[in-house]
Amino acid sequence: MKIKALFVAAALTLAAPFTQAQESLSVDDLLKLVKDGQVQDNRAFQERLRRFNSSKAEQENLVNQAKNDRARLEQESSNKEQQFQDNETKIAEAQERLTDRMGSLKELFGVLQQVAGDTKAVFQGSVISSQMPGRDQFLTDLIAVAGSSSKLPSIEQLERLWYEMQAEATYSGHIAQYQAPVVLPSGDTVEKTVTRIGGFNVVSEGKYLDWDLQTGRLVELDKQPGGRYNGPAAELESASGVALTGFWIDPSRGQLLKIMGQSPELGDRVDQGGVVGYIIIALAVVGILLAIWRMLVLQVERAKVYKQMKSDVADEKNSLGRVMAVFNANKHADTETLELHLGEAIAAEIPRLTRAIGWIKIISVVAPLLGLLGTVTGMIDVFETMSLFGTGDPKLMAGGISQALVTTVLGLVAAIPCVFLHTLAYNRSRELMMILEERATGILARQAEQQSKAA
Amino acid sequence: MFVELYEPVYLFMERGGDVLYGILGLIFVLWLLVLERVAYFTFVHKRSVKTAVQEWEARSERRSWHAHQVRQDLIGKLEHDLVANMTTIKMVIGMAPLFGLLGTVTGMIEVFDVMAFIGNGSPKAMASGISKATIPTMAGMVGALTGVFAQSLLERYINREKIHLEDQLTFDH
Repeated sequence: MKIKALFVAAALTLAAPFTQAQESLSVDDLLKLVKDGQVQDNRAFQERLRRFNSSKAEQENLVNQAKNDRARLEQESSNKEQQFQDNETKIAEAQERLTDRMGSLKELFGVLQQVAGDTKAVFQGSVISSQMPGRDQFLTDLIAVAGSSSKLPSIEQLERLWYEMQAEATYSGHIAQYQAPVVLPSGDTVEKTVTRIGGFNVVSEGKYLDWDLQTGRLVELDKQPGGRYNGPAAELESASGVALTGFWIDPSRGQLLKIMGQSPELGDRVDQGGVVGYIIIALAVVGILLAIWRMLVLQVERAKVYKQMKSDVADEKNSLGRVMAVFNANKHADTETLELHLGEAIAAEIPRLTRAIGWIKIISVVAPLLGLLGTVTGMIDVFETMSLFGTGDPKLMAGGISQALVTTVLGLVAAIPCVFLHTLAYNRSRELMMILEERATGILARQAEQQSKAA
Repeated sequence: MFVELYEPVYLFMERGGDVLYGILGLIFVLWLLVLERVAYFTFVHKRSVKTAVQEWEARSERRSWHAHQVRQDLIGKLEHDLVANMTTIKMVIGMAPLFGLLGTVTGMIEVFDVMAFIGNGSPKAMASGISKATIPTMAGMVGALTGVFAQSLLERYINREKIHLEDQLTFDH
């Protein structure tokens, strides 16, 4: 009884999902339901089997058809291959016949292609192209024709090549004036009247232009070679037909002008000198300022002393006047005391006259020494570079070499005015010193004599 | 005639670069100063010695302390006038080789510029820089040498004159 109750509970639990609607489904009903399902499945299986069996024949049919197709296509492919090989042989024969018939002409076309290539490079690089643009298109076509195996260059094309080459040679002997677009340093493109001198240079408004290969434009050079060269260029442009004017050409067809544009400016040069260079410049400025200051002071003093020499009244505002005052104060002492006092007074004046002049001298000596220091440090730099990268590339060594040379130049440039100004200042101070040391007592003695004579 | 002379000089100056103009100016100043000295010695110096001697001889007495100082003054003034400009001449002579050296270095800078642009395989491209390096050096040396020659002659004359001056202003007859 207990077991039955359990079974029912289990069956109920299992049937729960679909028996919720029909609470009263019994175990017998369930069994019947299962049985019905079995019969139904069996029927479906039979049905499927029958369908598969019927389509099998159809599939086999398809396979056969595909096999037939493949066989046919393979046949076709082998036919084509055969045909291809035949054609190959025919082409080889035809080409051989072509080579035979062309004979030396083939070599001629090789040369033609090469010459056309060279000429194209020449035309592209030539400033004459600025006057006659588009000449290289014909050459590009000709090269393509001469290089292809299916086409032959025509007689017209050969003659035109010859004509173009001759034209280039002729135009390179002419000076021509025409309108052309010019790229200014600001980047604007302006239509300008330009003058072409043979195949060498193009100038416009007294300025040299450069033929730029990439853009095929005339470009005004940023840095012009300067008045001595630009002046004749302007003269040439304005000259009438037969007038002879001198003109500077760049025989390298603009290369030298471009290199010149790359050379550094004065500021860049000074900068290459490095720290040592700036120290030298500072020293030079100090030296020159000192010299100017001393020269002004001594010039004023000199004027005062010369005025004092002519006057009997001692003016304490100049060195001779101060010596004179001492002389006047000791006029009646004995000569030995007088000389002692005068010597003292003169000795006291000397440092005022020679002040700072020694410094100018020192700067004029130290500046070249500093230049030498810069040279040596620059050379150390060069040798370090050489030990790292070898001596192959002069460009790598350029930094050290420019430092070495620029500091030397700066040293000399600082020393030369310092030596000059030192000499001038020294001359002035020496003149005044001479007046005090050798002439002061004489002048005073003469004045004293005249006073006593007058009295 | 003038054009024929002008051409080689112009080419020489062109090859030597800007520094050569400095050396040219320096040598010009040097010889101007030397000529000034020669002119002074021949035309002015003799006369100023004569006036000094006259002033000295005109004195009533030539033995007192005052007389000694006046004699010293006369000699000092004459000597000073004799050696005037000599330091400038010496300076200019000293500066000529400095300018030459300046030319050497600027020329070398140009050589290295060329090397940096087109490598060291082209001696022809470097020729301009090398001539700018060597010609001013030579010009500076030649200028200084001729100057040294003139300067030593002037010095000798000045020293002789100094001794002569002392002899002319005697204390007593």
